[in-house]
This record gives sequence, C-alpha cells and structure tokens, in this order.
Amino acid sequence: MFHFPAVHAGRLAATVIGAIAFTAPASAEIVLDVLYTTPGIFNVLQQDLAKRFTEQHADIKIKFRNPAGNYEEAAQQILRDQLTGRLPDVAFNGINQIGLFVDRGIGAPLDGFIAKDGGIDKLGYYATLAELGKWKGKTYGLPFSVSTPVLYVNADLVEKAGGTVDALPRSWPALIAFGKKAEAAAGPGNTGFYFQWEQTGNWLVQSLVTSKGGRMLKADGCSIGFNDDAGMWALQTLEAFGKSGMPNLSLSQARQSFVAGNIAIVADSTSYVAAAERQIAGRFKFKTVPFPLSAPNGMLPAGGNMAMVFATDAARQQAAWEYVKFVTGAVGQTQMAKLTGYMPGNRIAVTEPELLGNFYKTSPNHLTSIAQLSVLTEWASFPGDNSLKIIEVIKGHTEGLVTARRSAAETMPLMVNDVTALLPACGKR
Amino acid sequence: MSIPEQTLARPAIVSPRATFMSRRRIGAMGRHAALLLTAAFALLPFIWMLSLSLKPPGEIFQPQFRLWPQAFYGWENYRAALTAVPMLRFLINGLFVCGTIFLLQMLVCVPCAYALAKLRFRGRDTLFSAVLVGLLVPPQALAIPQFVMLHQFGLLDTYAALILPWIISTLGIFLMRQFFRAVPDELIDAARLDGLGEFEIIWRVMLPVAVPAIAAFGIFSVVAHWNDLFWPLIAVRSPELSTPALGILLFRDDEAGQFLGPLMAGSVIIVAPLVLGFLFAQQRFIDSMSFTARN
Amino acid sequence: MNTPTKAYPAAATDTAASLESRTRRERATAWLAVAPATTLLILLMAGPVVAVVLISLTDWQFGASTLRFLDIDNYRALFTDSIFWRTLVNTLLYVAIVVPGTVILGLVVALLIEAQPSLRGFYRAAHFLPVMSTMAAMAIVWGSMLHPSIGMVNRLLAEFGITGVNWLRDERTVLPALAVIGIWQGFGFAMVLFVAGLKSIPQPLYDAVAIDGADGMFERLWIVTLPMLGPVTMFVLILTATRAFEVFDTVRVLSQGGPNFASEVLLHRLYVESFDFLRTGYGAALTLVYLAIVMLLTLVQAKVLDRRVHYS
Repeated sequence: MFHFPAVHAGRLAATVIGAIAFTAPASAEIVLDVLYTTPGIFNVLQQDLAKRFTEQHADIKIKFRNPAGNYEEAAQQILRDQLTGRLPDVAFNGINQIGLFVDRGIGAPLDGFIAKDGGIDKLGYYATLAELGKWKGKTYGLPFSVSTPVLYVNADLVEKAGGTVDALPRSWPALIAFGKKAEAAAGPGNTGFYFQWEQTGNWLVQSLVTSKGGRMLKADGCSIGFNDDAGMWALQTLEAFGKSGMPNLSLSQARQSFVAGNIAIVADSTSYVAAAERQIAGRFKFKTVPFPLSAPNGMLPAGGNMAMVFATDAARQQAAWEYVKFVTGAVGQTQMAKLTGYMPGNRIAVTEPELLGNFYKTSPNHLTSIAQLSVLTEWASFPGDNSLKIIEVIKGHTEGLVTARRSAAETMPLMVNDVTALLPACGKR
Repeated sequence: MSIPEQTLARPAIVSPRATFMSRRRIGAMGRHAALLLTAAFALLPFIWMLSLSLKPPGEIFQPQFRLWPQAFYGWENYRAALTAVPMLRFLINGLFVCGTIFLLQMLVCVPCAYALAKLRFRGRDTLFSAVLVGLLVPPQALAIPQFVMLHQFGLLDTYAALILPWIISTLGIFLMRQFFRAVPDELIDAARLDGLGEFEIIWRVMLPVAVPAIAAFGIFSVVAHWNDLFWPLIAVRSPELSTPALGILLFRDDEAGQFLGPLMAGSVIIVAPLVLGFLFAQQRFIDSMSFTARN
Repeated sequence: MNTPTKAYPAAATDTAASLESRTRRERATAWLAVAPATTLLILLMAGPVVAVVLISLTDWQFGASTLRFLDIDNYRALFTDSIFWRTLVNTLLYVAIVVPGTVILGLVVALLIEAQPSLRGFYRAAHFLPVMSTMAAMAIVWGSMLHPSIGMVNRLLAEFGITGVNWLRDERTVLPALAVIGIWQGFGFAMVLFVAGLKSIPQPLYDAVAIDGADGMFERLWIVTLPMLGPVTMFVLILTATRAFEVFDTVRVLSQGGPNFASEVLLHRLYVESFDFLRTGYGAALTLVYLAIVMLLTLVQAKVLDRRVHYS
C-alpha cells in the first residue's frame, strides 16, 4: 500500500545523500554492526573486547548499536529490524531466544566455521554449554556469558540470626522460616528472604521447576510440560513465598536493598556477583551459595547470553565469526569473567592459571556457579509467534502467586489455559 | 496550603496599626513557609540527584542519609558517566537536532503566520482552522505512519528521522500569528512604501519585532525535543545519533540500575544544559513564557 | 477574524487597476508564504492521520507485503480487550489527578509569590526548574527516591514512624505516585502562566472593588482575581490536560505499565502494541481511539470553559 513510485525516488535520493554525507569505507575494511544488551553490566566489557579485537584484526571495525535494556527488548528490536531490513551482524542475546530467531529465519549456522577451526572441543567450549546453542541440530549460538541461579547471602545478617552460611537450610520452607528469623533479628526495614521471580524469561520460575526434576516444555518442544507435579510444586513454592509476606520488589530494587545490607538472603542470578562485590565494598560479609535442588534429578537452567551471527553476506559472516570466536574464546572469556559475575563458556579460560585459574582461587563467590556446571539444562522458550507474549503471561501469573493474590491451585489451570491459547499447534511452527 | 491564605487575608481588615504590622509579618512568614515547602517539593529530586552523583557506591546504600558525601566520589562518577556512553556526543546531537528543528520550524512557520495574520487570500480561514485542529493532535499519535514513511524512504536511524517529522509546528504558527496580529499595520505599510517586498518585510521587519514570540516558541520547541524520549526511541539506535534523553536509558537497565552514582551523574549532565540556560536567562525566560499566557 | 489589512495609504492615489494588481500580488505572496507550511501539514499530519485510519481497518504488519481489509475487526478486538479498558480508566484517572493538582498548586503558588515582593525571583526559578528537566532522567531520580528501603521518601516517612509502601510496585499506589511526579513536573509551568495572568489584571479594578468595601484579601481574590484569571486558567487547563494524556516517559522508565497493568496508560500501550509486539493494525485502532478522546475532551473543555469565562 505504500509502494508508489515516489518511494523509489525517495530511496535514491536518500542513497545519494548518504553517499555524499559519509565517505565510503575502504573496500577491504568491514564494519560489524553489533548489538548487545544490559548496558549497565556489559558496556565496559564490550568496549574493552572490541578494542582488543581490533588490535588483532585491523581490517574489521566494531560498531555498537545502542544496547537494549534487556533480552526481551533486544528480541523485539531484532524482530523489528528484520522487517525494516536492518539486522545487526552480531547479536548477543538470551540463551532462551535462539529458537525464536532461527524459526523466523534469523541467524547463520556456525557449524562450518567451527569445523574449519578445529571443532568445539579444540576451541575450548564446554560441551554442555555449546549444546545449548543448538537449534534443530545446528549450532547458532556460542556461550558468551553464562549465569546460574544462586543464593546471595549477607553473612552478617545470617549470623545475627544465629545461623552460619555453611549450615544454611537447603529447602525452601526452611529457608522461608530462617528468613523470618533473620528479619526479626535484623530489625524493621529489613527483609529476610527474597526470590527474584521477575528475572528475564521467567528464568527463576523455571529454575524452581527444573530443580524439582520438571520441565517447562515437553521433549517434543511444542507442548506444555509444567502442568505436572514438579510444576505444581514450583507454583506452590512461589505461593509460599507470597504467603510468608515476602515484599514485591523489582529486580533492581531487590539488588539495591541487598547491597545496602537490608536483605539477608536473595535467590538471584550470578550475573550480578561482580557488581555486588564492588558496591558492597566490604561493608558486610557477602557469600554465594548453590541454589537448592529439591529432587535427585534436579537441574538448573543455564541463563545468560550467547553470541549469534546474523550477517548473511559471506565476507561479513566470516568477519562476524572472527569476532564471535574472539569474544567467546580464552582471552574474551577471561575479560568477561573478571568484569562481570557471569561464568565463562570456555574451559581454556577457566583452567589456564594465568587466565582465570588464579582468579577463581581468590574469588570463591564466582566459583559457586562453576560448581553447578554439571546440573545445567536448557532455559526453555516457548515456540511460535507469541513466544515473547507467553513470557509476559507467565510473569503475570507469577506475580499473582508471590503477592498472595492467588493460590497455586487456582493459578495452574489459568496459566495452562493462557499459555495453550498462545502456543501454535504441535507440528506447525 | 490553606493556612497562609487565611493569614494573608487578614492584614487588610481594618485594624489598629500595631496589630496590622504584626499580622502582616505573620502573613509574610506564612507565605515563606508555604513557598519553601512547595519549593522543596520542586527541588528535592535535584538535590537528591546531585547528592548521589557525588557519592561512592558504599555510601549511597548506607542506612543513614547524608547530603554531602563523607568520601567525595564525584570525579569518579562523572568520569564514568562521560566515558561509559558517548555522553558529549549525545549533548552535541541534542544541540544539533533541537537547533535544526527550531530553525526549520521558523522557516516554515513565520511566513505562514504572517500571511495568516496580515494578508488576505482565499482559504485563509480554512488553513487557520486546520492549524487549530492540528494543535490538538498529539504528535505521538502519528508515530506509526511516520515510522513507515521514514522506513520507505530509507531514512530510519539518521538525523533526518529525528528532525523531519517535527518541522511543521502548529503551535509555532499559532503563536506567531497571534503576535503578528498585534503588530500595527502602519509598520508594514511604511516598509512597503520603502519599497520592501513582502518576504523582505517578513524577515527584516516582522522577525526583529517578534523576538519575544520567537523566544517563547523557541523555549517550547527546544525543551520539548531535548526532553523527548518517545520518538528517538523509535527513530534511531546508533549511539552517534542518539539524543540526551535516549542516552540516559543506556545507563539504566534492570540488571545494573544499581550503579546509581554514575547514573545520577549522567542525569545531571543531561539535565544541566537546559536548567543552567534557564537560570542564566531567568527573567527573560519567564517573560517569554508569560507572553504565551497573555495571548 | 477582524480585517487584517487596512488600505495602504498609497492606495488612495492609485487607480482601480493598480489596486486590483496589488490585491492579486498580495494573494500570490500569501499563497507562496503558506505553501511550505500547507504542504507539510498535509504530508506530515493530515496524511498520517488518514494512513492511521486506513491501517486500523486492515491486518497489515510492518514489512508485510500483503494486507487484508478487516472492516472493524481491530476495533472489535480493542473494545473487547479488558486491558484496553483498564488502560483507558487508568489514563482518565491519571488525568483526573494531575490536572486539578497541577492547576490548583500552580495557582496557589502564583498567588503566594505575587502577594509580596520578597524572594520572588528565587521562588519563581525554584518552582520552574522541573519544567525544564529531562523527564527520562528525572524519572530515574524519582525511582531511586521511591525505593522502598533506601529511598528518600520512605526514609523521611520512617522519621515520623510511618512505614512507607513500595510505591511503584503496589497496585494501589503506582498510579497516584506517577501522578505526583506528573504534577511535580507541570505545576511550575502553570505557576508562570498564572503569574503572567495576575500581572495583566489592571489595578483600577481592585480600586473599584475597594470603594465598594470589598478590600479584604480574600474578597479581592474572589471578586476580582479569580474571575479575571479565567482565560489563563482555560489555557493552563487545556495545556495540562493535553500533557497529562501524553504521559509516557515516567511509565516507560518506572513501571512499564505494571504491576498487573495498574499503571498502563494509552500512549504506553500504543507503543507496546505497535512497536514491541508489532501488532500494527491494532496499534493504529488504539491510536485513533486515543486521538478521538484527546480531541473530544479538549473541545468539550474549551467549550465549557469558554462559556464560563464569558458569562462570569
């Protein structure tokens, strides 16, 4: 409807103006258009990596877009870019969103590049994590920054309540009870226990489900899996949080309160460990503790983001691969771990003493995440056009539980109903 | 708010001189008390922002609040704010975009306003009605088609995308027209007798006379576009093109909104140009603003 | 519309023919002068409005090469969407708090400032400062002030033994909190306009009522000041209402419409549907409804106030 001839004239004019305004770059040089998220955590790191990379590859320049606030915003922006034909060449986005992009024809398979450069193992990627970058048998993403759920503990407040970090309860009801005790001991204005239910992509809600051995999606990848005992248990646990009088805080509010010394225990992502240490600046003893697993077959969803290549042109793809290889490689991952709280996806970075080996010896709070490597599973994402909307819907139901507005028994059928309505039929996309 | 009003109401009641004076003083104190309270409401966020922008992370989260930091950390915070994102670039972009928008608006609006105010032609009333209706259309309502249009012309993520949709301002036409109508015709006639053409009259006679109106509209325009978040969020995403309001969002994300020091420093840097500009030219500024009320 | 131009002094001596040519020249100049503005009005405002109407009748999405005529399906979807109604109610509620709050506070402050000369300049500047500030940045400042435990507001309340709630995360308080921020930003502007209005009230009017024996401050206020402020009040009301309808920055930065849509407003919803979820047709329908409401309310307001101003 907007295709009238004037459009072409307009485009031509715009191209001409563009050509005059910007001198064309030298033909050999490639400028990679890169999108990342959560600038508060990644700005410094990404700029540092781009600088290091350009020192090694003089012919490739890195140009960052305005980073998106979070994974969902980035996904929305990328889908919009696909429509306006302005996709970035490289994008860092939530591990859970690879399928969402690939199903819409965004993203280049990296298997060819990986094979040419010696394979997953030689490049140093942890096999479990590299596996998470696959979609329908092909690798589209490589782990850039991996997070796992852990408990953030204010050891001072815990000790005030007569506990110790090592002897912290390992079940949620006991944690809630201990939180109440810590709250009473710490005095008014403090919170004993907080669960970051609002984490992007329903990640901590999923953590509860998988920690009980359940799954969000059935193995077929297209039907609901959380409507079983493990799922019900997860909803009941969330309900118990709400009934215990846990306040409703936003992600950043809870983090601010924790580093201010006002919360004893927070279940949160490891992504914030480095920043928390900097902000606490030794004002109280801060420890991280593994996330409680509530079943022998309990697993935890790997959070964080992967690097993906969106470029379609062969030369740009090659350049983009060089960049992805660099930032997910030993040097890139070393910087990543040092500047953020995320876990590296590259074994070489972790084991080489001069890279991260010594860092982990002196930073036990970062090691908790590595210890959970063996129980990592996928961070599920629902298929279809409404993938992002389903995240919103589940978030809405979770809020009903943690604010004690609805019970788990009431929520389960509603949530199943709402999510089913937004899911495509199995077999179709 | 009712207390000061009553105290103010009393002094005028006929009464012995001594009581009158003391009541007057009570009235003055009441006035100051009330105005200091409302001024505090207006200024507290600025004070809080400045205070946090000077503090180290540890102090921001201390349970006791102090206005002035114990350990001065302003240098670090402002350096972080200036280097984490290309803040200076954002400010320059803001200046360039707002300046260009305003200039183009003047180029388009002034002749039109002059014609609406001083010339006779068919369609004048229709055009003026259209301008009045246009005043009521919130610009955000046109975002979808304007976005599509810019996409079709390949102009998304350019300065043009930030500027083009705004070069027609019905408010500008309206304000200028109201002002021009008050300019005596003799002035124009004299210029015509001197042999000036109509367009020369517009730019060389009317424009200098209309400085208060131009200033008032300029303030409206620049404040609106410097502070706009809605449109830049849609139109651009290259840091080289971003405007100050957009720049602030790059500091803030839910994951790390906790770096309040640099975030507040960034806010100060973005808010400062307009606020300082206002404080320097305060009197003239408020006069210009009042101009719009008198019309 | 009074006659804009008198006959030129020179015209008296001109022949009818040259008068004719003058009129023609005037007309040509006028058309030349309004041509750019008219073209742009059509291209950038009228055109887009028509486009919104058309898009709202289709299932068109960004980038899609095909579209289907849907009749009023988008509107049906809109009007049966409970979130839309919630959004509409929230927006009206927001406007209903912000408009009177801004106007009354602005008026009271203006009256107080103008009552006596001392510190006038300081007070005017202080109250006007929020008007100049970038809302996106100040919203973040407000967000940290309203933090439940380390924010300034709850710390202040704690001094008085009051436990403050989590203002931006509580369904009952989020909209009022955003409205207070809206008032904070707007009341200085209302104040400046009222001050200008006060200054333009002629002194003889006060003298006249003084002769009638009504020289108490309160009576002067009631009999002279407020009625004379009628036109300014109308201007302030319309301006404030239009601005209140356009609330976006604070919602985007502070609450994203939550919790549970308690602070979802029309413009933010419009943005989310059109640009986040890419439901262009639905977004266009929402836009049109939004446009209709804003224009209708402004016109009604202008009509009602116009009558009051004239008959008082």
